[in-house]
Amino acid sequence: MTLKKHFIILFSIFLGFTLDNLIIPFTNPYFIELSLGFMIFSYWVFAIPEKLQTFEALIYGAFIDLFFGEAVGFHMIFFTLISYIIHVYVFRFRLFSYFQLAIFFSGATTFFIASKYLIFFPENYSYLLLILSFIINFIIWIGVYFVMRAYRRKFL
Amino acid sequence: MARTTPTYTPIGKYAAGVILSGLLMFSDINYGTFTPIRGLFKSSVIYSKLAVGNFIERAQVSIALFQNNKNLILTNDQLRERILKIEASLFLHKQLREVDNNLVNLSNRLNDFKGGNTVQIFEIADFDLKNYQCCSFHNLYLQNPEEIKVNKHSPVASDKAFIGQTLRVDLDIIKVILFSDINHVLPVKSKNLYCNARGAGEPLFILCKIELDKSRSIQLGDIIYTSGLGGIFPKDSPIGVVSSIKNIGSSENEILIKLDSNPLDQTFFGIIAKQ
Repeated sequence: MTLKKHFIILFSIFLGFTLDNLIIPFTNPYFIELSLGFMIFSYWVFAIPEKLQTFEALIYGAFIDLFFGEAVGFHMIFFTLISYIIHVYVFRFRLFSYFQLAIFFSGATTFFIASKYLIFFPENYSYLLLILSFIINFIIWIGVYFVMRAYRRKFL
Repeated sequence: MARTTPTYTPIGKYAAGVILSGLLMFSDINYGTFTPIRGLFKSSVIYSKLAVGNFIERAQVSIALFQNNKNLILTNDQLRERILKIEASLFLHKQLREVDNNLVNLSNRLNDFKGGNTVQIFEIADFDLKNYQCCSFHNLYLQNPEEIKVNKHSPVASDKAFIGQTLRVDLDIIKVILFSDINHVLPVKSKNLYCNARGAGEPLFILCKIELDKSRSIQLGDIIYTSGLGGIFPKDSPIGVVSSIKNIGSSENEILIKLDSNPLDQTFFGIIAKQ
Protein backbone atom coordinates (compact mmCIF):
# COMPACT_ATOMS: atom_id res chain seq x y z
CA MET A 1 0.00 0.00 0.00
CA THR A 2 1.32 3.45 -0.87
CA LEU A 3 2.25 6.08 1.71
CA LYS A 4 -0.54 8.30 0.40
CA LYS A 5 -3.12 5.64 1.24
CA HIS A 6 -1.66 5.28 4.72
CA PHE A 7 -2.06 9.05 5.17
CA ILE A 8 -5.66 8.87 4.00
CA ILE A 9 -6.42 6.13 6.54
CA LEU A 10 -4.49 7.82 9.34
CA PHE A 11 -6.22 11.13 8.60
CA SER A 12 -9.65 9.53 9.05
CA ILE A 13 -8.56 7.92 12.35
CA PHE A 14 -7.15 11.26 13.54
CA LEU A 15 -10.39 12.94 12.60
CA GLY A 16 -12.29 10.34 14.63
CA PHE A 17 -10.19 10.91 17.75
CA THR A 18 -10.40 14.71 17.30
CA LEU A 19 -14.19 14.48 17.09
CA ASP A 20 -14.17 12.30 20.22
CA ASN A 21 -12.24 14.99 22.06
CA LEU A 22 -14.68 17.65 20.94
CA ILE A 23 -17.83 15.68 21.70
CA ILE A 24 -16.94 13.94 24.97
CA PRO A 25 -17.14 17.05 27.22
CA PHE A 26 -20.81 17.38 26.20
CA THR A 27 -21.76 13.69 26.36
CA ASN A 28 -19.87 12.72 29.51
CA PRO A 29 -22.26 14.38 31.99
CA TYR A 30 -24.87 11.95 30.58
CA PHE A 31 -22.54 8.95 31.08
CA ILE A 32 -21.93 8.50 27.38
CA GLU A 33 -18.51 8.09 25.85
CA LEU A 34 -18.00 7.70 22.13
CA SER A 35 -14.93 6.21 20.57
CA LEU A 36 -15.23 7.14 16.92
CA GLY A 37 -11.46 6.90 16.40
CA PHE A 38 -11.34 3.29 17.57
CA MET A 39 -14.40 2.37 15.49
CA ILE A 40 -12.88 3.97 12.39
CA PHE A 41 -9.66 1.99 12.86
CA SER A 42 -11.72 -1.19 13.33
CA TYR A 43 -13.62 -0.40 10.16
CA TRP A 44 -10.40 -0.07 8.15
CA VAL A 45 -9.10 -3.42 9.38
CA PHE A 46 -12.49 -4.98 8.63
CA ALA A 47 -12.59 -3.43 5.13
CA ILE A 48 -9.01 -4.06 3.99
CA PRO A 49 -7.58 -6.72 6.34
CA GLU A 50 -4.88 -7.79 3.90
CA LYS A 51 -3.38 -4.28 3.97
CA LEU A 52 -3.59 -3.51 7.67
CA GLN A 53 -1.71 -5.99 9.81
CA THR A 54 0.44 -5.98 12.94
CA PHE A 55 2.97 -3.38 11.84
CA GLU A 56 0.34 -0.92 10.65
CA ALA A 57 -1.69 -1.39 13.86
CA LEU A 58 1.40 -0.65 15.95
CA ILE A 59 2.42 2.43 13.96
CA TYR A 60 -1.11 3.89 13.86
CA GLY A 61 -1.47 3.15 17.59
CA ALA A 62 1.85 4.88 18.33
CA PHE A 63 0.73 8.00 16.43
CA ILE A 64 -2.57 8.14 18.28
CA ASP A 65 -0.80 7.60 21.62
CA LEU A 66 1.57 10.48 20.94
CA PHE A 67 -1.14 12.92 19.89
CA PHE A 68 -4.13 11.90 21.97
CA GLY A 69 -3.11 9.26 24.51
CA GLU A 70 -2.38 9.27 28.21
CA ALA A 71 0.53 6.84 27.77
CA VAL A 72 2.44 5.42 24.81
CA GLY A 73 1.46 1.80 24.20
CA PHE A 74 -2.22 1.89 25.13
CA HIS A 75 -3.69 2.39 21.66
CA MET A 76 -0.92 0.21 20.23
CA ILE A 77 -2.12 -2.72 22.34
CA PHE A 78 -5.78 -2.30 21.52
CA PHE A 79 -5.21 -1.66 17.83
CA THR A 80 -3.11 -4.83 17.65
CA LEU A 81 -5.68 -6.88 19.55
CA ILE A 82 -8.69 -5.75 17.51
CA SER A 83 -6.64 -6.20 14.37
CA TYR A 84 -5.87 -9.81 15.32
CA ILE A 85 -9.49 -10.65 16.17
CA ILE A 86 -10.79 -9.12 12.95
CA HIS A 87 -8.16 -10.95 10.88
CA VAL A 88 -9.05 -14.30 12.39
CA TYR A 89 -12.79 -13.89 11.84
CA VAL A 90 -12.80 -11.59 8.82
CA PHE A 91 -14.64 -13.96 6.48
CA ARG A 92 -17.13 -14.94 9.13
CA PHE A 93 -17.84 -11.22 9.61
CA ARG A 94 -18.63 -10.96 5.91
CA LEU A 95 -21.63 -13.22 6.57
CA PHE A 96 -22.86 -11.14 9.47
CA SER A 97 -25.84 -8.80 9.24
CA TYR A 98 -25.42 -5.10 10.03
CA PHE A 99 -27.07 -5.79 13.37
CA GLN A 100 -24.54 -8.49 14.29
CA LEU A 101 -21.64 -6.33 13.11
CA ALA A 102 -22.90 -3.41 15.19
CA ILE A 103 -23.08 -5.63 18.27
CA PHE A 104 -19.53 -6.90 17.75
CA PHE A 105 -17.94 -3.53 17.03
CA SER A 106 -19.78 -1.63 19.75
CA GLY A 107 -18.89 -4.44 22.18
CA ALA A 108 -15.22 -4.17 21.20
CA THR A 109 -15.39 -0.38 21.57
CA THR A 110 -17.00 -0.68 24.98
CA PHE A 111 -14.24 -3.09 26.07
CA PHE A 112 -11.70 -0.52 24.85
CA ILE A 113 -13.43 2.25 26.86
CA ALA A 114 -13.68 0.05 29.96
CA SER A 115 -9.96 -0.80 29.76
CA LYS A 116 -9.08 2.86 29.36
CA TYR A 117 -11.01 3.75 32.50
CA LEU A 118 -9.59 0.81 34.46
CA ILE A 119 -6.00 1.67 33.56
CA PHE A 120 -6.03 5.48 33.69
CA PHE A 121 -9.14 6.64 35.57
CA PRO A 122 -10.27 3.84 37.92
CA GLU A 123 -12.01 6.41 40.17
CA ASN A 124 -14.33 7.33 37.30
CA TYR A 125 -15.13 3.75 36.22
CA SER A 126 -18.87 3.32 35.89
CA TYR A 127 -21.04 0.45 34.65
CA LEU A 128 -23.77 2.92 33.72
CA LEU A 129 -21.29 4.69 31.44
CA LEU A 130 -20.35 1.38 29.81
CA ILE A 131 -23.94 0.28 29.23
CA LEU A 132 -25.04 3.63 27.79
CA SER A 133 -21.85 3.87 25.71
CA PHE A 134 -22.50 0.40 24.31
CA ILE A 135 -25.99 1.41 23.18
CA ILE A 136 -24.84 4.71 21.65
CA ASN A 137 -21.80 3.15 19.95
CA PHE A 138 -24.10 0.43 18.60
CA ILE A 139 -26.23 3.08 16.89
CA ILE A 140 -23.24 5.13 15.75
CA TRP A 141 -21.44 2.13 14.23
CA ILE A 142 -24.03 1.96 11.46
CA GLY A 143 -23.29 5.58 10.54
CA VAL A 144 -19.53 5.07 10.82
CA TYR A 145 -19.77 2.01 8.58
CA PHE A 146 -21.61 3.77 5.74
CA VAL A 147 -19.67 7.04 5.98
CA MET A 148 -16.33 5.21 6.02
CA ARG A 149 -17.39 2.97 3.17
CA ALA A 150 -18.19 6.03 1.05
CA TYR A 151 -14.87 7.61 2.11
CA ARG A 152 -12.94 4.44 1.20
CA ARG A 153 -14.59 4.16 -2.21
CA LYS A 154 -13.85 7.79 -2.96
CA PHE A 155 -10.26 8.02 -1.80
CA LEU A 156 -8.74 4.51 -1.86
CA MET B 1 -9.60 -29.72 9.75
CA ALA B 2 -10.38 -26.39 8.18
CA ARG B 3 -9.18 -23.20 9.84
CA THR B 4 -11.67 -20.62 11.02
CA THR B 5 -10.71 -18.45 8.06
CA PRO B 6 -8.66 -19.11 4.97
CA THR B 7 -6.38 -16.17 5.87
CA TYR B 8 -2.95 -16.68 7.32
CA THR B 9 -2.93 -14.89 10.66
CA PRO B 10 0.20 -15.84 12.61
CA ILE B 11 -0.39 -15.16 16.29
CA GLY B 12 3.35 -14.73 16.93
CA LYS B 13 3.60 -11.29 15.31
CA TYR B 14 0.50 -10.05 17.10
CA ALA B 15 1.65 -11.44 20.45
CA ALA B 16 5.03 -9.74 19.97
CA GLY B 17 3.19 -6.48 19.15
CA VAL B 18 1.05 -6.71 22.27
CA ILE B 19 4.05 -7.52 24.49
CA LEU B 20 6.08 -4.64 23.02
CA SER B 21 3.17 -2.21 23.46
CA GLY B 22 2.60 -3.46 27.00
CA LEU B 23 6.24 -2.83 27.90
CA LEU B 24 6.11 0.67 26.41
CA MET B 25 2.92 1.46 28.30
CA PHE B 26 4.32 0.10 31.56
CA SER B 27 7.47 2.18 31.28
CA ASP B 28 5.50 5.30 30.33
CA ILE B 29 2.95 5.00 33.14
CA ASN B 30 5.46 4.10 35.84
CA TYR B 31 8.55 6.06 34.82
CA GLY B 32 7.16 8.70 32.41
CA THR B 33 9.63 7.52 29.72
CA PHE B 34 7.76 9.16 26.86
CA THR B 35 6.38 12.18 28.73
CA PRO B 36 8.77 14.68 27.03
CA ILE B 37 7.95 13.30 23.55
CA ARG B 38 4.22 13.35 24.24
CA GLY B 39 4.63 16.88 25.59
CA LEU B 40 6.20 17.98 22.31
CA PHE B 41 3.44 16.38 20.25
CA LYS B 42 0.75 17.84 22.51
CA SER B 43 2.34 21.30 22.23
CA SER B 44 2.46 21.05 18.45
CA VAL B 45 -1.26 20.16 18.44
CA ILE B 46 -1.97 23.19 20.63
CA TYR B 47 0.02 25.44 18.26
CA SER B 48 -1.98 24.08 15.33
CA LYS B 49 -5.22 24.83 17.17
CA LEU B 50 -4.00 28.34 17.97
CA ALA B 51 -3.04 28.90 14.34
CA VAL B 52 -6.49 27.79 13.19
CA GLY B 53 -8.05 29.98 15.91
CA ASN B 54 -6.00 32.99 14.76
CA PHE B 55 -7.03 32.39 11.18
CA ILE B 56 -10.70 32.25 12.15
CA GLU B 57 -10.30 35.36 14.32
CA ARG B 58 -8.72 37.27 11.44
CA ALA B 59 -11.48 36.15 9.12
CA GLN B 60 -14.04 37.39 11.63
CA VAL B 61 -12.25 40.74 11.92
CA SER B 62 -12.22 41.07 8.14
CA ILE B 63 -15.95 40.46 8.01
CA ALA B 64 -16.46 42.98 10.79
CA LEU B 65 -14.48 45.53 8.77
CA PHE B 66 -17.12 45.38 6.10
CA GLN B 67 -19.73 45.98 8.72
CA ASN B 68 -17.88 49.01 10.15
CA ASN B 69 -17.62 47.26 13.52
CA LYS B 70 -13.94 46.36 13.46
CA ASN B 71 -12.69 49.17 15.69
CA LEU B 72 -15.45 48.68 18.22
CA ILE B 73 -14.77 44.93 18.44
CA LEU B 74 -11.04 45.41 18.77
CA THR B 75 -11.39 48.08 21.45
CA ASN B 76 -13.87 45.93 23.32
CA ASP B 77 -11.57 42.88 23.17
CA GLN B 78 -8.56 44.90 24.23
CA LEU B 79 -10.41 46.42 27.17
CA ARG B 80 -11.74 43.04 28.24
CA GLU B 81 -8.26 41.53 28.06
CA ARG B 82 -6.83 44.44 30.05
CA ILE B 83 -9.46 44.02 32.77
CA LEU B 84 -8.75 40.30 33.04
CA LYS B 85 -4.99 40.93 33.16
CA ILE B 86 -5.40 43.60 35.82
CA GLU B 87 -7.64 41.35 37.94
CA ALA B 88 -5.17 38.45 37.81
CA SER B 89 -2.25 40.78 38.43
CA LEU B 90 -3.97 42.47 41.41
CA PHE B 91 -4.59 39.16 43.12
CA LEU B 92 -1.01 38.04 42.71
CA HIS B 93 0.45 41.35 43.82
CA LYS B 94 -1.70 41.13 46.94
CA GLN B 95 -0.33 37.65 47.58
CA LEU B 96 3.24 38.80 47.03
CA ARG B 97 2.69 41.74 49.39
CA GLU B 98 1.63 39.30 52.07
CA VAL B 99 4.73 37.24 51.38
CA ASP B 100 6.74 40.47 51.70
CA ASN B 101 5.22 41.22 55.09
CA ASN B 102 6.12 37.79 56.35
CA LEU B 103 9.60 38.05 54.93
CA VAL B 104 10.39 41.07 57.12
CA ASN B 105 10.44 38.78 60.12
CA LEU B 106 12.04 35.81 58.47
CA SER B 107 15.55 34.69 57.70
CA ASN B 108 17.70 35.52 54.68
CA ARG B 109 16.76 32.22 53.13
CA LEU B 110 13.19 33.40 52.62
CA ASN B 111 14.45 36.75 51.32
CA ASP B 112 16.27 34.77 48.65
CA PHE B 113 12.97 33.12 47.71
CA LYS B 114 11.41 36.52 47.09
CA GLY B 115 14.46 37.91 45.28
CA GLY B 116 14.22 37.42 41.55
CA ASN B 117 10.58 36.34 41.63
CA THR B 118 8.08 38.23 39.58
CA VAL B 119 4.46 37.95 38.51
CA GLN B 120 3.84 37.06 34.90
CA ILE B 121 0.50 36.90 33.15
CA PHE B 122 -0.10 34.20 30.54
CA GLU B 123 -3.00 33.61 28.19
CA ILE B 124 -4.59 30.21 28.04
CA ALA B 125 -3.55 28.04 25.08
CA ASP B 126 -5.66 24.96 25.65
CA PHE B 127 -7.81 23.30 28.28
CA ASP B 128 -7.97 19.51 28.53
CA LEU B 129 -11.76 19.70 28.70
CA LYS B 130 -12.24 16.04 27.82
CA ASN B 131 -10.46 14.75 30.90
CA TYR B 132 -11.62 17.66 33.08
CA GLN B 133 -15.29 16.78 32.59
CA CYS B 134 -15.01 13.02 32.75
CA CYS B 135 -11.88 11.89 34.41
CA SER B 136 -9.33 12.50 37.07
CA PHE B 137 -6.52 14.22 35.12
CA HIS B 138 -7.06 18.00 35.14
CA ASN B 139 -4.60 20.08 33.13
CA LEU B 140 -4.54 23.36 31.30
CA TYR B 141 -1.92 24.82 28.97
CA LEU B 142 -0.65 28.41 28.85
CA GLN B 143 1.07 30.27 26.05
CA ASN B 144 4.53 31.65 26.70
CA PRO B 145 5.44 33.45 23.46
CA GLU B 146 7.98 35.70 25.19
CA GLU B 147 9.82 32.62 26.46
CA ILE B 148 9.81 33.77 30.08
CA LYS B 149 11.65 31.35 32.31
CA VAL B 150 9.03 29.44 34.27
CA ASN B 151 10.15 26.97 36.88
CA LYS B 152 8.55 23.61 37.49
CA HIS B 153 6.13 23.73 40.46
CA SER B 154 5.50 27.49 40.34
CA PRO B 155 2.12 28.63 41.74
CA VAL B 156 -0.54 29.49 39.17
CA ALA B 157 -3.45 31.79 40.01
CA SER B 158 -6.56 33.28 38.46
CA ASP B 159 -8.06 36.59 39.55
CA LYS B 160 -9.64 35.03 42.64
CA ALA B 161 -7.34 32.35 44.01
CA PHE B 162 -4.57 29.92 43.25
CA ILE B 163 -5.70 27.17 40.93
CA GLY B 164 -2.68 24.88 40.51
CA GLN B 165 1.00 24.69 39.75
CA THR B 166 3.22 24.41 36.70
CA LEU B 167 4.23 20.91 35.67
CA ARG B 168 6.45 21.26 32.63
CA VAL B 169 7.21 23.48 29.62
CA ASP B 170 7.23 22.09 26.07
CA LEU B 171 7.82 24.33 23.05
CA ASP B 172 6.89 27.39 25.16
CA ILE B 173 3.59 25.85 26.18
CA ILE B 174 3.30 25.65 29.97
CA LYS B 175 1.47 22.63 31.34
CA VAL B 176 -0.41 23.35 34.56
CA ILE B 177 -1.78 20.72 36.92
CA LEU B 178 -4.97 21.89 38.65
CA PHE B 179 -5.76 21.37 42.33
CA SER B 180 -8.65 19.06 41.40
CA ASP B 181 -6.33 16.62 39.55
CA ILE B 182 -6.19 13.36 41.47
CA ASN B 183 -2.38 13.41 41.45
CA HIS B 184 -2.14 16.86 43.03
CA VAL B 185 -1.66 17.19 46.77
CA LEU B 186 -1.99 20.58 48.47
CA PRO B 187 -1.28 21.20 52.16
CA VAL B 188 -4.25 23.20 53.48
CA LYS B 189 -5.57 24.47 56.79
CA SER B 190 -8.54 26.13 58.41
CA LYS B 191 -8.91 27.22 61.99
CA ASN B 192 -9.34 23.61 63.13
CA LEU B 193 -7.79 21.62 60.33
CA TYR B 194 -4.41 20.81 58.89
CA CYS B 195 -4.29 18.27 56.09
CA ASN B 196 -2.88 17.34 52.72
CA ALA B 197 -5.80 17.81 50.34
CA ARG B 198 -5.74 15.59 47.29
CA GLY B 199 -7.57 16.45 44.07
CA ALA B 200 -10.98 14.78 43.98
CA GLY B 201 -10.76 14.06 40.25
CA GLU B 202 -13.95 16.08 39.93
CA PRO B 203 -14.04 19.71 38.72
CA LEU B 204 -13.63 22.29 41.52
CA PHE B 205 -13.21 19.80 44.36
CA ILE B 206 -10.35 18.62 46.56
CA LEU B 207 -10.67 16.35 49.56
CA CYS B 208 -9.04 15.67 52.91
CA LYS B 209 -9.22 12.44 54.86
CA ILE B 210 -8.84 12.99 58.57
CA GLU B 211 -9.48 11.17 61.81
CA LEU B 212 -12.99 11.28 63.22
CA ASP B 213 -12.18 13.09 66.46
CA LYS B 214 -10.15 15.76 64.65
CA SER B 215 -12.99 16.53 62.25
CA ARG B 216 -15.64 17.21 64.92
CA SER B 217 -14.86 20.92 65.10
CA ILE B 218 -15.03 21.42 61.34
CA GLN B 219 -18.19 23.06 60.05
CA LEU B 220 -19.72 23.29 56.60
CA GLY B 221 -18.73 26.59 55.00
CA ASP B 222 -15.42 26.90 56.89
CA ILE B 223 -12.89 28.79 54.78
CA ILE B 224 -9.86 26.76 53.74
CA TYR B 225 -6.45 28.39 53.29
CA THR B 226 -3.12 27.25 51.92
CA SER B 227 -0.90 26.26 54.80
CA GLY B 228 2.36 27.02 52.99
CA LEU B 229 3.79 23.75 54.28
CA GLY B 230 4.46 22.40 50.81
CA GLY B 231 6.92 25.21 50.12
CA ILE B 232 5.26 26.16 46.84
CA PHE B 233 2.27 28.34 47.76
CA PRO B 234 2.39 31.26 50.18
CA LYS B 235 0.45 30.54 53.35
CA ASP B 236 -2.96 31.91 54.36
CA SER B 237 -4.30 32.34 50.86
CA PRO B 238 -8.01 31.35 50.76
CA ILE B 239 -8.72 28.66 48.19
CA GLY B 240 -12.18 27.33 49.01
CA VAL B 241 -14.79 26.32 51.56
CA VAL B 242 -15.83 23.07 53.22
CA SER B 243 -18.64 21.71 51.10
CA SER B 244 -19.43 18.39 52.77
CA ILE B 245 -18.23 16.10 55.56
CA LYS B 246 -18.72 12.40 54.96
CA ASN B 247 -18.02 9.43 57.18
CA ILE B 248 -15.98 6.87 55.25
CA GLY B 249 -15.21 4.35 57.97
CA SER B 250 -15.26 3.77 61.67
CA SER B 251 -12.41 6.19 62.31
CA GLU B 252 -12.17 8.50 59.30
CA ASN B 253 -14.05 11.40 57.75
CA GLU B 254 -13.74 12.78 54.26
CA ILE B 255 -13.87 16.58 54.01
CA LEU B 256 -14.85 17.78 50.56
CA ILE B 257 -13.59 21.29 49.76
CA LYS B 258 -15.12 23.36 46.96
CA LEU B 259 -12.54 25.59 45.29
CA ASP B 260 -13.25 29.31 44.91
CA SER B 261 -11.85 29.78 41.45
CA ASN B 262 -13.20 28.05 38.38
CA PRO B 263 -10.44 27.81 35.74
CA LEU B 264 -13.08 27.53 33.00
CA ASP B 265 -14.15 31.13 33.69
CA GLN B 266 -10.71 32.57 33.04
CA THR B 267 -8.62 33.48 30.03
CA PHE B 268 -5.55 34.84 31.80
CA PHE B 269 -3.56 33.25 34.58
CA GLY B 270 -0.68 34.51 36.66
CA ILE B 271 2.47 32.62 37.54
CA ILE B 272 5.09 33.62 40.06
CA ALA B 273 8.04 33.18 37.72
CA LYS B 274 11.76 33.82 37.56
CA GLN B 275 12.73 37.05 35.76
